[in-house]
Amino acid sequence: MKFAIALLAGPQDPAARSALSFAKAVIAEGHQISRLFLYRDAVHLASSLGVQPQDESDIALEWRQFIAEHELDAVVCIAAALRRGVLNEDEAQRWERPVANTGAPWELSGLGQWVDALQTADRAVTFGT
Amino acid sequence: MKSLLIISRHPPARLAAREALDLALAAAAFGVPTAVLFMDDGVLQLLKGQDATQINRKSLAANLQALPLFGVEEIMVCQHSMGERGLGGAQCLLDARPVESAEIAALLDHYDQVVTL
Amino acid sequence: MLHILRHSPGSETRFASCLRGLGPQQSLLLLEDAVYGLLPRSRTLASLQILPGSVRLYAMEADILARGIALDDLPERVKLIDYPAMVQLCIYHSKVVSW
Repeated sequence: MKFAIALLAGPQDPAARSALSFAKAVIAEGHQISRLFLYRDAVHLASSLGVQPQDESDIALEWRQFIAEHELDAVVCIAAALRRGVLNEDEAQRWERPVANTGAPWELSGLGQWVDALQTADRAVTFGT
Repeated sequence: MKSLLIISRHPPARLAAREALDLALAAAAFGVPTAVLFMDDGVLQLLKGQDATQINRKSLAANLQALPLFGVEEIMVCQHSMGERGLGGAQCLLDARPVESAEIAALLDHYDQVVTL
Repeated sequence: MLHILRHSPGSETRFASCLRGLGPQQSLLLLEDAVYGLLPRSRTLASLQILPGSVRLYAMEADILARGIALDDLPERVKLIDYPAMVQLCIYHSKVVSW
């Protein structure tokens, strides 16, 4: 079965962890994740600049590793990301910002990607409402 | 096409309110049969007479008024949430269909996808 | 239909909104802070208890344990689940609504 998973809350919210646990269980149970979509404050999860205290887990890193390991389609809403200062190399250049803080495995794209995921997945589950 | 119901439940000064409308407009632009239900504090988006410039915000009214123009098929407002806030239909800046509590379950059933934002 | 609640009943109106949207043949999963709705002797627990018997109630066990809610005190109708079981619930129900 194909799951579309959307996350709306940021890395500091328990939802970022719940969504990852759910996504891991989807794969472990033999199903597919057709797309991950980050919207609203969840876009901060795609930033690679966060530094966590040594005795705390790094949820952004765990997401990146999970996505890379399973070669998932992982999309960050570009409008939400630009507003919150989450930029890849292209956007940093386009808007003349001093640094890019996101990149592979995350891809910046439009809300249409979520609309499409809602249409094509067998189940759509939203976390972090 | 799977139909989509968006439940918008944040007050207008929140970015979340704008971002809920953005999803509705994007879905409608892709030809998805889309409806919006304003519920809880979301009903406050519909209040007439808002002047967001007083707090240096862009008005949400233009986005709200774009909903029917861009093909959002149905705009509804939760009557219970309105009543809790002492509001009536006459104070709405959009022609939203009032929905009673008893109708909500059937409404959620009717749409193929429901997203709360 | 599977409804998922994640907010504490004390901080949010969604708990009540979700219960209003819950049909008699549907299921409700309490996730994250929504498990505070199961605190013994709380008003929310009472409102969950009076839901029709046909409504199935689930709660994420890890979220309950993480928040110090004693498993012994939970009503019998609440079924504790883990993430693989949540995946199964999402498959069993044709639609998932997160509040």
